Amino acid sequence: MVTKGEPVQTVTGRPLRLPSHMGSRLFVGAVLFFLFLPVVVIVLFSFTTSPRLSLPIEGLTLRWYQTALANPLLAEGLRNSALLACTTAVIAGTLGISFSFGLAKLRRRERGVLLTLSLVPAAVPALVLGVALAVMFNVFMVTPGIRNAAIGHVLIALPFVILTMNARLETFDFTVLEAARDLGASPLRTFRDITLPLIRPSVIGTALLAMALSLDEFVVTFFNVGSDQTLPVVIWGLLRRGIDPSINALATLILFSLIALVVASNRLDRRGGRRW
Amino acid sequence: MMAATVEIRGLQKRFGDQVALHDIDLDVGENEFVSLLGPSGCGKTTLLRIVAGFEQPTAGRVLIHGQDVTDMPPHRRPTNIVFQRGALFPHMNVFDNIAYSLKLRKWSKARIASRVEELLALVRLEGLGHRGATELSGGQIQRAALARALAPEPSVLLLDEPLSALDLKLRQHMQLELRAIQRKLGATFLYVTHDQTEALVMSDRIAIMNGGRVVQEGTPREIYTRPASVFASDFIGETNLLPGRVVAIDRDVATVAVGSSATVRVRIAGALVPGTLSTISVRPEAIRLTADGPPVAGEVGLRSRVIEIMYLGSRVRIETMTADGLVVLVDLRDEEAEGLERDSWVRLSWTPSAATVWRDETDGTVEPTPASPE
Repeated sequence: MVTKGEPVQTVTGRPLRLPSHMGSRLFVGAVLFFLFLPVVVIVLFSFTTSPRLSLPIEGLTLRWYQTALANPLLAEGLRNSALLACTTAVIAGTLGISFSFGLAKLRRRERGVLLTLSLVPAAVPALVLGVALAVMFNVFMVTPGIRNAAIGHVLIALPFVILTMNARLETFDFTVLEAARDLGASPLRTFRDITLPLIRPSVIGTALLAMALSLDEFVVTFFNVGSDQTLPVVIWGLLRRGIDPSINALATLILFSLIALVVASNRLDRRGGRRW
Repeated sequence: MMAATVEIRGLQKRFGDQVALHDIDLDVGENEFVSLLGPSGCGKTTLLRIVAGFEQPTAGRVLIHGQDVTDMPPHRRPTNIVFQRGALFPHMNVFDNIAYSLKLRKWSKARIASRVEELLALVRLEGLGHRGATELSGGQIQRAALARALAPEPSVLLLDEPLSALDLKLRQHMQLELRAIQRKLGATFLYVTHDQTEALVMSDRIAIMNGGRVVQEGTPREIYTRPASVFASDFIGETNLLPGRVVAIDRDVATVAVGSSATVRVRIAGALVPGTLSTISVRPEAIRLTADGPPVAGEVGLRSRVIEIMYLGSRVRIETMTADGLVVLVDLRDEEAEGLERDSWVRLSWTPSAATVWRDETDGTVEPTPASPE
C-alpha cells in the first residue's frame, strides 16, 4: 500500500515542473536576445546593400566601410579618440595604481574612508560632471578642446582604476617586496623584478578599462571638447543627418577592435606571466 | 664572549605615543643561536625588523661586525630574513628564488647554479629547483625561504617565527633540522618566537621579552631553572605561583609563610626583607608529594588535598588544593602516583633551590601577570 507516494504527487508535480523549466529557458533566451539584438543588428546591417535598415536582406557589401573611412571628420575623430584613450590609460593608470599602493599601506579605517572618497565621483552623473568641468574651465579661461576632454576622461576612469587595483592589492603579499629588499634589491629593482610582474595582469586590465571608458565617453566630452572631434562626437554628428549605414560600419569597427584588444592583452599577459 | 656579530645599543622604538621598545641592549655572538622569546606584542618582531632595516629606531644603534648599520637601507645590510610564511616570489620557481640575491650580486651563471644546488641539498630540496613557488607544501616553502636567505651568506640570519605556520610534528622536526643547519654552517641566527619549547630546544641563548623590554637573558637551562621574574617563570614552562609573606631570611634562602599556617623555604631572586609580600614560583615537577602525617615541629611544607588525578601518558598530574584554597599542581611519574586517591590529604615539599621567590611586582622590571595558576 505504501508505494513511495508515487500516484498523487508526481501526477501533479510532473506537469507543473516541465512548463516552469521551459518558462525559465524561454526567459533566459529572451533576456539574451534583448541583450544582443542591437549589436547583432548593427553588425548585420553594416554589411547589407540596402541603405535602409530593412528586411529581407537584399545583398552584402563593404561599401559602408569605404564611405565611413572616406569621411575626413572620421580620420580626425579616430585619431583624437585613440589619443584620448591612451592618455587616459596612462594618466589614470599611473595615478590610480600609485594611489592604491598608498592606500594599501594605511590602516584599515583610513583606507576605507579614502577609498570611499575616491569612488564618489563615479556616482556623479556624467551630465553633472560635464557641465561642472565646462563651467570650471570657463572660470579659469581655459579654451575648450581635446585637452579638457582628456581631463574629464581621467576623472571618469580614475575611480574605476582605483577600485580594480585596490581589489588586487587586498590579496597582495607585501612581504615579498620586503623579501626582495632584504635580499639586496634597491626599491627600483624590487619594483621591476617583483612588483610589476605580480601586478601586470591588473595593470593591463585597468589600462584597458580606462581605454574602454574613454573610447565611448560622450557626455563629458561633448561639453568640453569644443570644435575638436572624437569618434562618439563624429557619430553623433552623422546621426543628426539621419541613420546612415556607415555608422553601422563604424560601430562594428569599434566593437571588433575592442574585442581584439581584450583578447590580445589576455594572450600577452599569459605569456608574460609564464616567462619567469 | 668575543666581539659580538650583532650589537644592539640603547634601542628605542615609538609608534606615535606607544612605546614598542624601551632601551634594548643585546649582543648576538659569532656562530650563536639567540632567540627572542615573548608573548605577542612584546616587541620581538619590531626588534628583528629594526635589525633587518625595515623599521627605523627612535633612538639607539645597531652594529654588525662593529659597523654601524642603523641608517643603512635593508638592501645594503649583511642581514637576511626568513619570513613567517616564507614570502617566496610566487612568479619564480625555487631555483630563481634562491638565485635572486646572487643575480643581484652579478655572480656568473655557473657559480649561481652550483651555489643553488649546494643550498638545495642543504635544505633537502634536491631536484625541486624547477618547482614553482606556489606548488610547494608548507614545510618546503620554509626550506626554500631558508635557502634563499642563506644564499648570500649573511652575517646574521634573522628568522621571524618561521615555523609557526607548520603543524606540530613538522615543526618539531624542522626545529632540529634548523639547529643542525645552523651548527653545520657556523652561522649566526637571531630567532623570533613566541613558542617557549622551540626557544628551549634550539637556542644557545634566549632573551625573554615583555612589554618592550628584555626581562631576562641566559641559556635555556638558566632561564628555566633560574627565572629572573614571575613573568619569566610563568612564561617558560609551567609553574605554580603562590602568594606569601617573607618570615625570615638566611643568606639566599627565605622562609615564607603561605596561607594561614604553612611555611616553605625557597631561593631568593632579588632583594627581600622579612615582612615583604611576595610571590613564589615552583614547577610542578619539582614538588615532592608525601602522605600526610602528624605535623612535625619546624617542618616545612604545604598540606594539601588531592582534588584531581590526570593521567598524561609520560606523567601524572595531580591537582591539589590547600586549606586556604590555593591550587597547587604536582607532576609525578606514573609509579610515584600509584595508590594516590582523590580527597586524601598530602604534604607538598621541595628543596629550597628548586623554587624561587620575588617581592610582589612593584619593582618595575616585572610586568603584571596573573598570580595564581588556575
